[in-house]
Amino acid sequence: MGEAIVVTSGKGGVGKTTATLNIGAALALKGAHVLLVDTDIGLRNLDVVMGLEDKIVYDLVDVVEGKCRLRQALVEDPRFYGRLHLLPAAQTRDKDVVSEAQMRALVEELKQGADFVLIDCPAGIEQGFRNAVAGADRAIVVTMPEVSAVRDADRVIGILRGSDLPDPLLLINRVRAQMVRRGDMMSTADMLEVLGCELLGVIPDEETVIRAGNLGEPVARGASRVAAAYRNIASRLLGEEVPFQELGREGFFRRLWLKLG
Amino acid sequence: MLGREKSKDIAASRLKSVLREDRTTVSARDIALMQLDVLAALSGYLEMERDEAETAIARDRLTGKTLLEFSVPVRAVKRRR
Repeated sequence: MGEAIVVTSGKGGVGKTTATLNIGAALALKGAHVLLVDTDIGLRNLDVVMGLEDKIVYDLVDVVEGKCRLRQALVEDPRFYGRLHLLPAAQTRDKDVVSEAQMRALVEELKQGADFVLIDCPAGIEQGFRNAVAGADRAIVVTMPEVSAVRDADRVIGILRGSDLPDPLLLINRVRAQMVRRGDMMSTADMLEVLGCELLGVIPDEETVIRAGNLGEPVARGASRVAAAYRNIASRLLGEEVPFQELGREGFFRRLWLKLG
Repeated sequence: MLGREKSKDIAASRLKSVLREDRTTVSARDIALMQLDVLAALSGYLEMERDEAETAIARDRLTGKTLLEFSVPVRAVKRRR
């Protein structure tokens, strides 16, 4: 039986969907069976980011309403030898057609057939968020080095701690090492100090992510620093201890790692 | 430019002050429940105008500390032996 992990952020546009895909892809590359679930009903995007938008027949709502069997709704990503599947969200329905109890039952069923069920959460903290969080065993909170994004992350972390997910893992996206060095971008240490979470990974801000998005493929398969960062995250989720990448010249992340470790 | 404060330090300090406010917001429901608990805790010592009790979480502008403000008119002090 697998583990269900929800990927959330509060704020939109911080890279939740891209992170969900690439964590999933990196886990699949390591041999795990991964199922990605898009819970952003009405504003689905995971299918496009994966380049699978033309292959959707049924969706999450169809499964919940019993219009098809789960197997029929899953879309396989052909680049991962049967180890990466997507359960797409419905595009023409409302967020409240699915209840928290239905989500919990669905995720429970999904966990039977995968090592990891990664749940891509919609932005916000309303019903869609509560549905996405309902069946999860763990949470990853995605943020980036901006006041608004960290503020929303803090809010989400507070809500998660008040529910059944007390120890969310933090993923810091879009870090520009040069700007951090110059003192024009909050560092990992600045954000960890404020949020008080366990760090899962730091993703550099690279053009490769945008290019991969254009092509509809995961960055995690390539040879970039972003790909390496996602593969490290996958290793950490699999229980390995991986030192954090050095993004700064002065070995900042290494020092941070030593401090944390 | 010399001695200019780094923009990330300004970001960090703005963030901290925003979060100080965010983290101390308590829902109206929780405030009401808290007030009931406080009144219950005091009821062994005081006779109070329970309907006029007021409870709020506020920030002290001078010290920056978060304060719990509770007030209730006292009708009488209960005799305890």
